Amino acid sequence: METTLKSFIFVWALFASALSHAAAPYAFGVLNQRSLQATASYWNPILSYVSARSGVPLELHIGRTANETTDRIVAGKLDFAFTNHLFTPKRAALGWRVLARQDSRGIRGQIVVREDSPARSLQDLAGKTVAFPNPYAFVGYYVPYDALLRAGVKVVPLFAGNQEAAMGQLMAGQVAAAGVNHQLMADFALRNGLKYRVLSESEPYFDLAVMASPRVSQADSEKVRQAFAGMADDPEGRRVLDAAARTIG
Amino acid sequence: MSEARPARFSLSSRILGTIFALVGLMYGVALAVLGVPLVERVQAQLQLNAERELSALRTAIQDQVLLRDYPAIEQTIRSRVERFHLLEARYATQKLLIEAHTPPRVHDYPAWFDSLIDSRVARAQAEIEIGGLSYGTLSVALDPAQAMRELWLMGLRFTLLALGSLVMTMVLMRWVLNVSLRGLYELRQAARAIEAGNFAARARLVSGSPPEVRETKLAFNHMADHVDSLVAALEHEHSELMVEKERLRITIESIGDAVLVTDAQGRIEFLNPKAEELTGFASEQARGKRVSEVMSLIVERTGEAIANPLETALSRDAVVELDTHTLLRRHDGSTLAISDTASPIRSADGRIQGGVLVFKDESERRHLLQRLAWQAERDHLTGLWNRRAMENKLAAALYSAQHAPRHFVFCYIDLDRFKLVNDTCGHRAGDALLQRLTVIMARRIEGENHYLARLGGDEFGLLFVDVALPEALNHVQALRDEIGRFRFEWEDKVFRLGVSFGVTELHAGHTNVGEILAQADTACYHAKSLGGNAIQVYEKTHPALQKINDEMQWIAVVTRAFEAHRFVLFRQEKIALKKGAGGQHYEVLIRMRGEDGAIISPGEFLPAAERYGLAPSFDRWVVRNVFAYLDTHPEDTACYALNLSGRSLSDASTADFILEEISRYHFDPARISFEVTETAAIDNLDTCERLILTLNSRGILFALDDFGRGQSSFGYLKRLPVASLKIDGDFVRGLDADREKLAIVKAMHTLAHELGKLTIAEQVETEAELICLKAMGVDFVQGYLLSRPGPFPA
Repeated sequence: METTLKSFIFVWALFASALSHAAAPYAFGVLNQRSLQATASYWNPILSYVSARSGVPLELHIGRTANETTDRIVAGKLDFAFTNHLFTPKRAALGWRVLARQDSRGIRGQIVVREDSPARSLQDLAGKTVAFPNPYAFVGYYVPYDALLRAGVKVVPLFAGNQEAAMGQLMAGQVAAAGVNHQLMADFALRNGLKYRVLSESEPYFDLAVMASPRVSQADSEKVRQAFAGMADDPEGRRVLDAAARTIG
Repeated sequence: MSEARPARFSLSSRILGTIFALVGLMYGVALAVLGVPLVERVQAQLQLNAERELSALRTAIQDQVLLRDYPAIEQTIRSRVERFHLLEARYATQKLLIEAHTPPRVHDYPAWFDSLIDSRVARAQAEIEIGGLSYGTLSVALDPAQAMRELWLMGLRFTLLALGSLVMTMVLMRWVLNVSLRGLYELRQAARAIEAGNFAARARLVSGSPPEVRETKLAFNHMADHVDSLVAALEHEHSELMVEKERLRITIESIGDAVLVTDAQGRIEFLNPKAEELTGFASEQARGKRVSEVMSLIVERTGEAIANPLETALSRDAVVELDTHTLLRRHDGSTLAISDTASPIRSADGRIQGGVLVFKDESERRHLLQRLAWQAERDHLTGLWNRRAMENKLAAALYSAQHAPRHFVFCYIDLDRFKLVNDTCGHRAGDALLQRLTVIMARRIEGENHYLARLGGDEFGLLFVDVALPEALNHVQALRDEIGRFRFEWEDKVFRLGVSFGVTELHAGHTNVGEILAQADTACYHAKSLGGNAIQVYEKTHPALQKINDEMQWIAVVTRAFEAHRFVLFRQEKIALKKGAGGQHYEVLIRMRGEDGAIISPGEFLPAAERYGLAPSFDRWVVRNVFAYLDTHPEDTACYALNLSGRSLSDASTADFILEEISRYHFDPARISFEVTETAAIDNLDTCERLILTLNSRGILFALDDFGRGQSSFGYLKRLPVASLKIDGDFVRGLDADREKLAIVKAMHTLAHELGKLTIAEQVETEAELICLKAMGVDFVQGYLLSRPGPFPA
């Protein structure tokens, strides 16, 4: 994660300070990939840094679930968002623009089982319960479930709420397999000592992006972008990133 | 011995009290040791619970805080406050405050407990910070009531447990003590029974008793056995003591000595009846008084008070005997001569317990002693000093004369013709004469510093003290004149007495009293020889006195010869002129052998020996030796006549001596006869008569020697039971030529024969004399003509 943040490019960073004013902070929504606490622990330092660096006050807003967060975004309750749920044609019409994206080789959707699972192929999951983060998760649901459909395997989906919740179900043996973001799965398995086997993996897709609502001025957006983008090169930003990374292992 | 004050609490009370106190103390200590940390732990726990509750609440609302779901936060807080009965929970940000309260629980423990524990509301507060961003402050307050209640209940249970334990322990201990002390109660009962006099009481030994109690009972019983035997012994000794005490009481009350007993301070405790009699105080009356109050003692002669000997004995812790001549002043004021002994009474450890004074009435004894003392120095007939007293006074006077320039004159007085009174009027008359004459002499020297003593018979001694010889002679002269004028009348007879004085003055040259007496006696003898009624002062150079002195020289010679056994026995035969007289007859004579071996005739030493009292020794020596001779010479069957001096005749023990000597041998006493001179016999008429009669009873006969030389009273001849008369040689010598002598001898012979007595003529020296005597019919003759004296055969 730390390395991925290095690739953030904050195109709006330089404008942030110029456009900053004492107005109410912008609501910065983060797609639920982990628990609320983990998310807040990870994002609050970053948003504080960005707010200070850009001069654009940002305030973390999270929904109870990824769906709720996305619903809030869609409902126009948020000003900034870190998500990939707006790339559907319908949501693209909302006018949200991408400010920055993590500098990574993309993310892949995977269907994974525990290493001790007898399932060796997707067919082995037929009729079994498979956990997914939420119905809007691109690499966590759309892509894996597409693979299952293409393989003609019917499973019983179980939406855990976010990526790590689905992984937790798998780890606890509550489900036979899970649809996951390959990057998040690798981090989770490394952090929790979970050994797993990938039954299916998709091609790579763009990772989640920092996006701005159309009502956010260009200046503020730019300031924010620049702050994000220069964070990896700023010692303070680097320290914040390291600290944020430690909160998630 | 003071009795120790008993403790207020019994042993049971003490033990139970101690246990109670210990349990109470342990309870208190346990409360302190366990309770305080417990309370601290409870309060810490309460605080911890508050922290936990805070943490839980924080966890519960954390997501809601992130979601900014304030209604949900309020709901959660409220719900939690009610559910867990939090006193307060509040969530505060800069913009809002959410809080909820519940009222404190009503506690059911006492308020003092709450005050004691000092319970406090546990509060916890924390800031909700996520990712370095503060989301507000959360605080909770916990009600301590529940924890306090639990603490109270715990304390209550603990107290109940302690109380229960205490009660159980007390009950158990009480039971154990009752069981254990039962033996002690039995011991107490036994001890009280013994105290009440039941010495047979013993502590009962019960099986199951604790060993300590059993051992104690055994020890007690052993002690009781010992006490029982001791008491029995004490009772036995007590009864014996009572008997002894009664015996002593009776003894003390019945003894003739007075006994007074005091305590250690000298206060009277007891008087026996004799002491009551002598002091005049009753025992009850005297009790508690000091001895000096009851017994006032004074010196007999001076009347001075004497310290009471018992008080002295008590103060000195020694036996004190009172000096003689002590008088007791009795209660009625009269006095009594007493002697006493005072002794302290000591206990076994030597401490003085009291004193005892034993005294007795010495009046009679002291009177008797005085009388004896008087009699020892006085002549019982005349009341004058006796010979011994005079000798003592002479000794004292001699000492004074030898050591001081003082004058003493001693006068020997011998009455002339006193024997005539005795002979004619009897001894009663003689005694009366002496008494009256004594009164005259005593009156004559009355008031003077002189001593008059009766030395014996009609002899007196007169000592002039601090008087020179001339003055003494004046006194003597006056005394002689006074006696010369004295006429003694007895019945129809009147006697006129003469008196001879021998005077000598004491001087430092005198060696002893005997010498003084001898000088005075010599002078008196000479005065008497001058015809009587004369005064002769002793002069060493006076010829007559020199002669007498020569006689006295013989005393020493004779004494030495006697001690050196230089006397020898001689015998001279008496020839029987008539046939049929039977055997030979001898007169035993004594001769002295001089230091040169020459025989000394008795005419030289016998007068001195007789005059100075040695004759009895000669007599006894002769008796012993003649008797021994007769016993050892049975071949000699002759009869022997032994001479007895006047002194031996006057000695009443002579008869016993002779009889005792006879009893030692085995010859016939009838072979023995004694010759006594007429003069000696008459001088000791009574004793002589008794001696003759006594020895006559053993067949021993007597002859009257020198008959005719003395007074030759026919009365004597009649009275003396002699067997023969020995006619004095003066009458025999020359009787053939002297008609008077012949007539006298004839008369004597005739008289003797008429009286049934034999006659012996001595000193026959010529044939003519012998012829006359034969013609006269004299029975025996003796003289140089017929037989000279010669020694006994060996």
